[in-house]
Amino acid sequence: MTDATDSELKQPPFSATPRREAAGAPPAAGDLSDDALDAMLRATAATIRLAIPPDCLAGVRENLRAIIKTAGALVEPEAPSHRMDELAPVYRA
Amino acid sequence: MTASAHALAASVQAGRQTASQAVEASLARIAASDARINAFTRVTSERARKRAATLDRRLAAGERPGPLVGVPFAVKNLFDIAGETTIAGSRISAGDPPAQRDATAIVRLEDAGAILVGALNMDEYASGFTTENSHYGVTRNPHDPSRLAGGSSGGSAAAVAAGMVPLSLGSDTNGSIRVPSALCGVFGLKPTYGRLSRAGAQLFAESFDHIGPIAGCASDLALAYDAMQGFDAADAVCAPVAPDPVSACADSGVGGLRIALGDGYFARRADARALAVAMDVARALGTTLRADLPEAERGWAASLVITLIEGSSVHLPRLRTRPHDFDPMTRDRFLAGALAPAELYLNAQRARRRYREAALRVFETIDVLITPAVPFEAPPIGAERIRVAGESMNPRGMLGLFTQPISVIGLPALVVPILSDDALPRAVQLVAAPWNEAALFRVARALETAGVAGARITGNRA
Repeated sequence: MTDATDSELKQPPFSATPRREAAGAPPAAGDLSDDALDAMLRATAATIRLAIPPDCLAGVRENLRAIIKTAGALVEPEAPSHRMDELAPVYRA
Repeated sequence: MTASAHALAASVQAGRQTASQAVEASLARIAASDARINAFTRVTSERARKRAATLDRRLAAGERPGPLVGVPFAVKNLFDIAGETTIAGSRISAGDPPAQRDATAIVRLEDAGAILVGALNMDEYASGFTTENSHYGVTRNPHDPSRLAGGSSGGSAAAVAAGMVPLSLGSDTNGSIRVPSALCGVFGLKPTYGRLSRAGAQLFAESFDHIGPIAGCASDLALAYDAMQGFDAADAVCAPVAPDPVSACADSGVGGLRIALGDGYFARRADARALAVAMDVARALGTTLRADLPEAERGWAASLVITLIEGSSVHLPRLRTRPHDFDPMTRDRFLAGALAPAELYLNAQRARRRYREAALRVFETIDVLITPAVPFEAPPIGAERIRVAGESMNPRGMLGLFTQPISVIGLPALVVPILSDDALPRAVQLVAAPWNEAALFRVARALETAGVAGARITGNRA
């Protein structure tokens, strides 16, 4: 289990600079203003028939910022072609 | 009711006590102790007494019901128990209809002669490391009730550590068997992903949910693990591998095993005592090897992202209809996971795959890795910050620092409590390559027989 509300997750879990940021890519949603992020959250929630109770919005926003920051540490360097990953089911004879 | 499971089963099989007496002793211990600990959410006395009576009749007829005959056990309350509602630590699921049948793990333990006596407290929907459950109360550490028992299988570890049952079942996604086992000073096993059937257990993050036993000694852990092995078509990820019993080989010593002490990621961000205990264990085993799992930090980050998003998907229907019946912390976390961009999930899966490949290469050169199980001893209940190795940490998230990088790639791991003069339990985590649980048990038993390892059970041992 995770506790993504922990403040540790507001920082990358280790010191390496997120690779995409190092490559000069646009900032992730973690850098959006509260208002912009709230608008995005509400719009996204509507697409999956989910209503965010108003009293939960701040907590959801905080958790999403935390997960985006954590995930930032997992971004691979931009490359012209990715190596073949096995995310789809592969049948081996 | 504090005898070990194997001693109790031997006593019942030999007729020195009946299964009914064993159950009554366990129920009496629960009645006497649980008000202080809050490990149980349901005690299935009637079912246990009927089952014990049946076993006693079989024993009287000369049968040998199995290696766990007469052994009381209890399960985290996310396992289905026929006729009971599976609450999974939640208020929401408390309104669900009763389960139609027992979870596969319960069936298999009872087939080995064990007797279910109840269901145990946990973090809501297994999302947490502390068992500070806002609906059913906090489970307290039997060694110091002002301290956390850990989670999410907190009731499962505390019930064993308090001597209420010699054996319990938990589930482990990011450390939920291993963390409470370490904090409560008992043995806990998270087997290889796909080894034990999860059928009839509430899932959390499906791609790395595991189940496993918690016990007061390595031999009991092995008996329970062996009883639960075997393919089960009811769990899509339960692998069609032949059972690989460990009870018979656990005492074969560590000769020939390549054992290494954790380095790098596994040798920092822990208090000095946690690192010293791991080093003492390595010394006791006579090893000077050191090893790290490259990219373990990325494995930890990937586990956080994947867990949150997979867990949110499991609970999306409930988030739509009953958001305010969740624990507020769980709800906000799940809502955020439901709204996270797909790219985050896919990147985390790719990072997980690369980390797994790197970790498996390490296990071509070693058989068992020793790490601290948790970075610090059981924190006080309600503590928001603790200071570890010069760093201020929120203990709720950091308890899984050393367990999460292991389960996210499905490696087997066994938590071994280490005997010491410390006021609170200390433990190490043993990690092996996929399907090599036998090596873990050989090391655990070697430590136990050398007097290095042993559970702390409150009250007198029989």
